[in-house]
Amino acid sequence: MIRTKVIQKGASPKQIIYNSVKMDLEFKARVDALGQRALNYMLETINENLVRPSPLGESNLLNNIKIEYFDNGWGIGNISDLKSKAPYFLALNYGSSAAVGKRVPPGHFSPGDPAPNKSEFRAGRFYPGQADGEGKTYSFIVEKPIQPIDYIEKTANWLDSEIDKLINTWSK
Amino acid sequence: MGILRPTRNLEYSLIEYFTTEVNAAWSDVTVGYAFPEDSATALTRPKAIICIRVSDTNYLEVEIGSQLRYREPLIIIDIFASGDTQRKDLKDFITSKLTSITYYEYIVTNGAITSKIAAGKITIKPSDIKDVLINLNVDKNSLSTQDKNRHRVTTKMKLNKVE
Repeated sequence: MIRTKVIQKGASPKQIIYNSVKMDLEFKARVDALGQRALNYMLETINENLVRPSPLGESNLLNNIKIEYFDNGWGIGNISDLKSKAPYFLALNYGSSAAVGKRVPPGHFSPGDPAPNKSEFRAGRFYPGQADGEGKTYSFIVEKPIQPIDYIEKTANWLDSEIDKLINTWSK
Repeated sequence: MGILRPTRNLEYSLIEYFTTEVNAAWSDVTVGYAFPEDSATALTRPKAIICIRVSDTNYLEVEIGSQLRYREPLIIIDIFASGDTQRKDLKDFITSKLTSITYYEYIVTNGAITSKIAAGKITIKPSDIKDVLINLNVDKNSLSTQDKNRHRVTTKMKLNKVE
């Protein structure tokens, strides 16, 4: 007569499934957190590279780049939203000389003098088509192209490296 | 006499490499440095222009616990072509040349580059190469010829030189 004795070693099938689900959830939480960090990285990259920084809360681009979460991941920047609310988002990323050599519609710089002022270099933004509070306007011919900020590529590159780090720490 | 630092060495090495490659295959394409100057010049010049720049850099440790490192820069190549077919040809040409490139260190005397020394290899993983047509979503009639026919190639590179 053969007698057998079953001894359980390691995790039970139930425990393995439990651990696997737990790891999945933890990994997803980390990936979701990475999304928020990627958004912050992109916004900081834009903010640090704006030639004429805007007063807080006045940048349509910074205000409208948002993160959206889906069942299987997340995305940053809704293209159709950006096209309507910050249509220059591509020009800022890729740079553009579309306006070089052209006269802009009369407007004003604000805050500060409506005309450019050396003492307020890069301090104010230009509002085309609008007079200042005293009805003064200023117009000029664009001489320099918009410099590319490359915020999409820079964020993708940063994310690439962060995903590598996450996978490396997770697999150990 | 001094030696340029790695980012500028990388930029000069890449511009020199692509200038040689492009000149061997094309007669009307200029390879230059960064976007703004060359793009502005492009408005009055009928030639196509390729602008190459080193963007952000990531660093890889040579081994665990070591302070020695390799650098992995992001390279951005903007193509301003003189027509749509040239744009397609140039982006295929550029991506096909992103293989292994010699890295030089440039020696400067009295502010001018006087010589160079081969100091390593720049390698590229094909899966890191991306190219994208640039459409600025503005009226094309308002753009210069070169701005109408833009393409961007990006890639990560690894400089195989321990720092």
